[in-house]
Amino acid sequence: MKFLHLVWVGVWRKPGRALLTLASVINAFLLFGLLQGFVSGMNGAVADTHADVLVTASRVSQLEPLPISQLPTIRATPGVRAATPVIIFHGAFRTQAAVNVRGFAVDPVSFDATIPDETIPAADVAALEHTRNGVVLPARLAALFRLKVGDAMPLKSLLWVNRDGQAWPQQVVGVYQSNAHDTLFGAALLANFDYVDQGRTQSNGTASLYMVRVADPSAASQVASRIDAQFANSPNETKTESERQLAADSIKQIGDIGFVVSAITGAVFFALLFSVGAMMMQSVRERTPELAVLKTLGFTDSAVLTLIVAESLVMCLFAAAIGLGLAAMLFPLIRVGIGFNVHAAPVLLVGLLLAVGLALVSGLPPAIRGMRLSIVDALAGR
Amino acid sequence: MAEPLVNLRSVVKRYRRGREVVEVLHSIDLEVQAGEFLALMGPSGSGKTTLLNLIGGLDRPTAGEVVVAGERIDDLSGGELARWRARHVGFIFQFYNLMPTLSAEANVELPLLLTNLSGGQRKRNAAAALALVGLTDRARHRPGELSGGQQQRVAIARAIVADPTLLICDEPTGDLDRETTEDILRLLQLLNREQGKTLVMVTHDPKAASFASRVVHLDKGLLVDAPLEGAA
Repeated sequence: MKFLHLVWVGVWRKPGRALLTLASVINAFLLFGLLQGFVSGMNGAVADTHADVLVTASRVSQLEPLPISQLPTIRATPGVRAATPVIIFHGAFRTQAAVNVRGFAVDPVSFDATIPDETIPAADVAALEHTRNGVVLPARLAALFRLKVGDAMPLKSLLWVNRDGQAWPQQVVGVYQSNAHDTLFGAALLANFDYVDQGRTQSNGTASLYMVRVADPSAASQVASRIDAQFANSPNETKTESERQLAADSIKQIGDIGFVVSAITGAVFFALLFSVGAMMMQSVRERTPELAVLKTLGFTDSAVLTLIVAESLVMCLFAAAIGLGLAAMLFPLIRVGIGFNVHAAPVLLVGLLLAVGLALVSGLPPAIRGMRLSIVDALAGR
Repeated sequence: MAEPLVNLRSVVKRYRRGREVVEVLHSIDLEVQAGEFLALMGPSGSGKTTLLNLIGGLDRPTAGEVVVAGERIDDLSGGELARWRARHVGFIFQFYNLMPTLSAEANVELPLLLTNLSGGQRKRNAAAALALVGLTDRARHRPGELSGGQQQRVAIARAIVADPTLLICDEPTGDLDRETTEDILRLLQLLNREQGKTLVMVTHDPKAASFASRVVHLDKGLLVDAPLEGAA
């Protein structure tokens, strides 16, 4: 600690240069934090899906409806514990935009038996069962629209037109705390399956997909094959995947985001390595006589090496802490904007380790140069 | 007679310059007694600074022995030599060689960072050393805010703060005006006479050498003892 002052004044020897270098490192770590936060949220969303839940959708397209008559067959499939039909009901409320509310129409009773967590309290599911045009809302959505139980919520669906008009006159019957780890239903509005199915102008008696809960998660892929085999060569062939696989496939449709993010951060840090390394090299070159004086006073070669590496570490860690801190402050925006819940701690830890690596790689060459400095030559200006 | 504080026996120093090997010092024998103030004089290129570097443990001889404060320093490792310098030698340079980013007080404190003294004790010792050179009121100033004479006083305070056995001065007044030169030389003489410090000083200036208790001349790498004239 007694050398910290010496290290700190070394960092700020040329304030203008130090500020510019710090700004570039802060910027790089802010970018790293945000991109890695996004990837972490994406991976977390996949990892947080249920291991024992399968999603059965049309083999043709996820938008192609499946007849409700398939449900008893699915339920009777060996290994299936429960199954429930779902209509995708994304829509718009108080906006001209097409969608600002994620929503699903579900059968309250079978839904409760199929989804294996307590995201939606049983009381809310029961309230939904007893109110035909009822909806239950995640708390964030209720707060956003200042809605409470009993309020009316006329909703326009992206996909379904109400035979009584464009809007679906719904009524809020429950508000539940969003489960950030339940990426499918954790922040979604739930409406009544029968109300939507019977009220829409087309595709009546169909479901957008079926959620299937298996008895043994380790046998999920076999159960999926069994379900699909039963509808093979029928007019409504199915494709059953685990919820996890479905989530991963959905993300893959955007592209190999992990690779893109790694490529961008890799390029940024490669460039940063040169700029920080050049700054450290220049700083040490300017201080050659001062380093020689330190050695003259009794600082050993290893002490000089440590001082220079410590300067690099302090600068990189200081800037990384600011950059990652700013990124962490923006993580909630990723949650709000994209719906991914960022696992901040691993991102920040990897960022700090990266800062240490950057400091060592950029600081060691000038530090070794300082360590090898000949006192006599340096004092003589050679 | 007591063992000399500095004892050089048959010291030779050669440098390689390109393909050429240049012998800068030829079999030097020199003794400096504890409490002595020795001035090393000689023309440019005579080997004064090289000899001073060997005595101060900044460089190693090509041949011969260098014994200082009872320890043979020419065969110490780099780390051992650095620790030895921290314990035994204080250095004063022509161009002061202070850290421009540190205050006078922090510059003086530098050698104490290598000791086990507490932060408070280091500050007290640095303040005492600055008081000894008359710069208490400039403790917070950086070198760039001080005159040449004041900077050299800070350098002297830094050299004495760890209470070294030997002070090595390389042209300590070479960059100062006449009046400041006298002030600095009186201060060095005071350290020698009142504090009992042993000083070895390289100088071109006969007037500066006159403050020493003994003057030794070097010429083309050979030592030539000369009688002291006009010692103060």
